Amino acid sequence: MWSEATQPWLLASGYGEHWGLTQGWPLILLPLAILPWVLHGQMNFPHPALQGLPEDALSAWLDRLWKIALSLLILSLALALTGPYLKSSYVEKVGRGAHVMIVLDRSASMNEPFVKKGDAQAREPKMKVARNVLKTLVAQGHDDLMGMVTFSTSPILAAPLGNDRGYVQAALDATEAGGMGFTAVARGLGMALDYFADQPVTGARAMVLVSDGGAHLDGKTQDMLRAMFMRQQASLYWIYLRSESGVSLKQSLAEGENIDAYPEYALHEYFQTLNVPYRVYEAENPEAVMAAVRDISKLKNKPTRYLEPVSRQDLSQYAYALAWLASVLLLALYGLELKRWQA
Amino acid sequence: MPAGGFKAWVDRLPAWLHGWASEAGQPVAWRKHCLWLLTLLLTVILFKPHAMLPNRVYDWYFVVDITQSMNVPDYQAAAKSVSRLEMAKQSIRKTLSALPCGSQVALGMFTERNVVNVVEPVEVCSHFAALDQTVASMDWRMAWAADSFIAHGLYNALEQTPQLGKQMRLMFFTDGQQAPPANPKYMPGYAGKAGDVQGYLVGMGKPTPSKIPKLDEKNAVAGYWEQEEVQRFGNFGMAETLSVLAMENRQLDRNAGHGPGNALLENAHLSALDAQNLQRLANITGLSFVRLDTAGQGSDWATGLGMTAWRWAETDLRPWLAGLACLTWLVYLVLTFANSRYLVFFSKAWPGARQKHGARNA
Repeated sequence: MWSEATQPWLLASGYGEHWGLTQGWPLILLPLAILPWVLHGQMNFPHPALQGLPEDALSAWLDRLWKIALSLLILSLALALTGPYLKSSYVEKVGRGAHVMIVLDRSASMNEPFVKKGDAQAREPKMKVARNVLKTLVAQGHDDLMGMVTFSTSPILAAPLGNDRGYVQAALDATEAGGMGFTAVARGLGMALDYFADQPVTGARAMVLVSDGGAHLDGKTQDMLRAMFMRQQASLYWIYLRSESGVSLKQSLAEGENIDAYPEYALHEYFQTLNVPYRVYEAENPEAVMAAVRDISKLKNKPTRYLEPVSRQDLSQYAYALAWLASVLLLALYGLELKRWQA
Repeated sequence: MPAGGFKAWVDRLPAWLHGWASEAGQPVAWRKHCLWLLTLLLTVILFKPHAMLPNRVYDWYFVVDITQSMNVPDYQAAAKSVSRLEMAKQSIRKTLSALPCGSQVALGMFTERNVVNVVEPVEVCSHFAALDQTVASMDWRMAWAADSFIAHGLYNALEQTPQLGKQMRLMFFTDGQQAPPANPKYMPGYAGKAGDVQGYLVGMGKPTPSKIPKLDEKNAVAGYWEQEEVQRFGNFGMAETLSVLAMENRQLDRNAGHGPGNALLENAHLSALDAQNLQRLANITGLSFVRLDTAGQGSDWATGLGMTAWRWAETDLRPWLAGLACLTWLVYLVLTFANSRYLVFFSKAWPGARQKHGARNA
């Protein structure tokens, strides 16, 4: 009956929707707050004629203050014990450093090693190498905001742009080459660039593309991607995991070679026309990639404010602080108590 | 207050604070001790103490079906149609904020025949923002292939779950839509034992078939899948009859479609919650089949009985200290009002607590 009566009131206040209590039982402590007001029997000094004494307004108020402090203490403790919280709210954070989106290729070819011959160490799958390299990148530069998109046929947002490094590491741990043979570079980059779309440009934005091969981009896609790069003013770092049979991007193609036969070369040529800072790192071996990691960690940014959702905002700390104040007040008032009759 | 008055107050301060020293060695001094203890406890609380203690947590691997049938908007929320995918996402997000700190959460997506693990298990409170945003960004466009072989996907997810963590549970959100129709003879068997992995198989959608929308770039409905556009029979598998003799006896089904019963399905372009098939899969795998009606249900299942994983985790010590503080408060109160007639029983039990100062000093 009681709960039925309070139900509409609770709902109107947004209980369950915007705020909630972790536990309900400490509420039974609330009635204790009236005890100081109903109980009598404090230490007293017998006096033959109380009527003859002048009323001391200050003492009366001090007494009230003392009772208020006592009540407040137990009220705020009971409230704190219920663990009140605000649901899905946002906290403001300040980010420094660059905004880095990692775009990682998950296509099937990433399962192949750099070289086919050699011992087990030399025949590490490219995916594993890429993962290790990115882990070093993620472990560095703690001011940078990072996110990750993985792609094969379609892009998947694996980690949103933020300062949660542990999460990016966990997302990297989960990457396994799989998916289809198709390498949709454009869609992966597009999704990562989209991530900057709603935010003002406050400093360096970097796209770190980690891929082992090229893909043909048709004219329309090329123009769209170029426009996106220009608009978001993001620089591009391509960590090209060259396989043994792959072409090196450092040398120009021989005269008469058909560029279409070398998709990675075509992609390289296209990236150079993007009008944004672009660098390519050829990683024939794991060490070569460290250069890229160093370059990216040099990027800087103006401090930017952004909102980050939190699961629950704990409110009990405020109640505890109130209880603390009340207890300090009680302690102070204790000193004011007369322990002996002062004539 | 005039300045002189203030001076007078300061002069009287030592006399006032005389109260501090006067009770030493007496049972009543416990009043003072109580206050000191109270303040000490609350001061410690302000620094948010926590320690590693065994804690009740929940480990979940959430897998969402992102095939196109999940775009069917057959849920209602606030007088608006909500798609099954949206509903599943909302349910996961609510669950994320309901899980106690220390719980581990991994995310995955299903399409075609397998489940892609998007993120390995992470602690839910410290990584809440990233988890929440990742779930929010899950989209049918992330599908890397268009088929939907639910049994393959579920078994794949069940295979991954124990690798993600010993106490990991699986919550698999799907409408059970099988597309294209599969040949039952070639469906995989469950390699594990029923009940190896605990969890829920969450059925999404209504049992009445609805048309599957085609969404354009802005997620607006651009049309619906028509009967002619979808594959209406399973075409995988071998003919029943392979012998020449049988063919000579005019059994000509060698080149026929090999789907279920070889008959064309009437409603392959429609999608409904396939409760029967999901229930069957749940029985095989030992998961519990449940139907999601409101987004909030997910968190009840996730924190339900039998899903608990006890683990050493960071535990907030404030409630324990606060409980102690409450007790101290009570003791202080009782000592203060020891002469009260409501507390006669108390002063009888501890005669020293009864305050006799006044009487003695008068």
